[in-house]
Amino acid sequence: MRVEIDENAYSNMLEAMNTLVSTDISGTSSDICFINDDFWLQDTAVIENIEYRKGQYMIFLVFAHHLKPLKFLKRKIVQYACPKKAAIVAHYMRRQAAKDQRGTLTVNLKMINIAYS
Amino acid sequence: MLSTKAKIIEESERLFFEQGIAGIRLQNIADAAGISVGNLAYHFKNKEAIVETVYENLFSELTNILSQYMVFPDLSGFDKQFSALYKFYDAKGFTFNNWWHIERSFPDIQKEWLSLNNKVLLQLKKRIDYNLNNGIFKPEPYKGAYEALCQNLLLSINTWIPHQLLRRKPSTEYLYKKALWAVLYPAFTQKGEELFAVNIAPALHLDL
Repeated sequence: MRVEIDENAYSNMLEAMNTLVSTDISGTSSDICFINDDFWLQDTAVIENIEYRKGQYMIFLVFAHHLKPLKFLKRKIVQYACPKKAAIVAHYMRRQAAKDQRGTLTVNLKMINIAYS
Repeated sequence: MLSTKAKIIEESERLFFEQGIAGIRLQNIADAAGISVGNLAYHFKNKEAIVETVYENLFSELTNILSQYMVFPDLSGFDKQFSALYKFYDAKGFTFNNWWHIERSFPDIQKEWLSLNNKVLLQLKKRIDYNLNNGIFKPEPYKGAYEALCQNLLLSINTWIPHQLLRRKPSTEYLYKKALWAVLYPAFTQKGEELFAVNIAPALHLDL
């Protein structure tokens, strides 16, 4: 479908675009810090975690670094009323989120080094 | 490898350039594309359909150039547009020798062509307005002077290549841009001249 644009409207549009250069600010390296900051998330073991809260089964995914398990992120993904459905969804969520779908990246409990004393 | 349809369009553009739309028959196009007239008729029912497709492609390419409108304080916006327009007109030479035929026989195509040309003109005007506000162009010596300048520029944009061909002179992107900048240069302020000397002139090998 071809859309005709009125000459005055086109002229006004160009006028508005003329100011774009002065409003656009080029980015700085700090704008892409997140790439470095979140780089560790590439090598994390993903663990699904279902919790029963307020009558709902909430699916959390825990992203733990495979070498330093205490470096982890926990995020709520979704919630279901049915525990079976929550379990199935959590399983596939984990598979989708993990770098390796077969789950070879795992957390070694010995690396957590909990002091029981 | 080109599809048959693309091959037909490519050969049609060449033949329209060499002999004009009016002088071409379906048989000529079929021969040039290496197919039978029956096969050609399967893809395009008549010459008008080919002309329409050829011009549709042309308009979409020009629209694409126009959609890249962006002004830059260092005049490079003009330069980029000049380069894009040169490549466009250099590849689409058939437009030059079919102006009047399109005017007479294809009013819809002509209407679209005029509307796109008006857009090119408007873009040139807006670029000049922007540079005028930035102190790169001198204030208008009299009302309508820059309107006329834009029309001169458009005239050069559209007709420089056929003019060179008719004069048996070389036609290159570098010479094309040199000719277009020569239209704008007298309107520059000192700041404009300095910017031109730094950003544009080196690529054109101009001795300022």
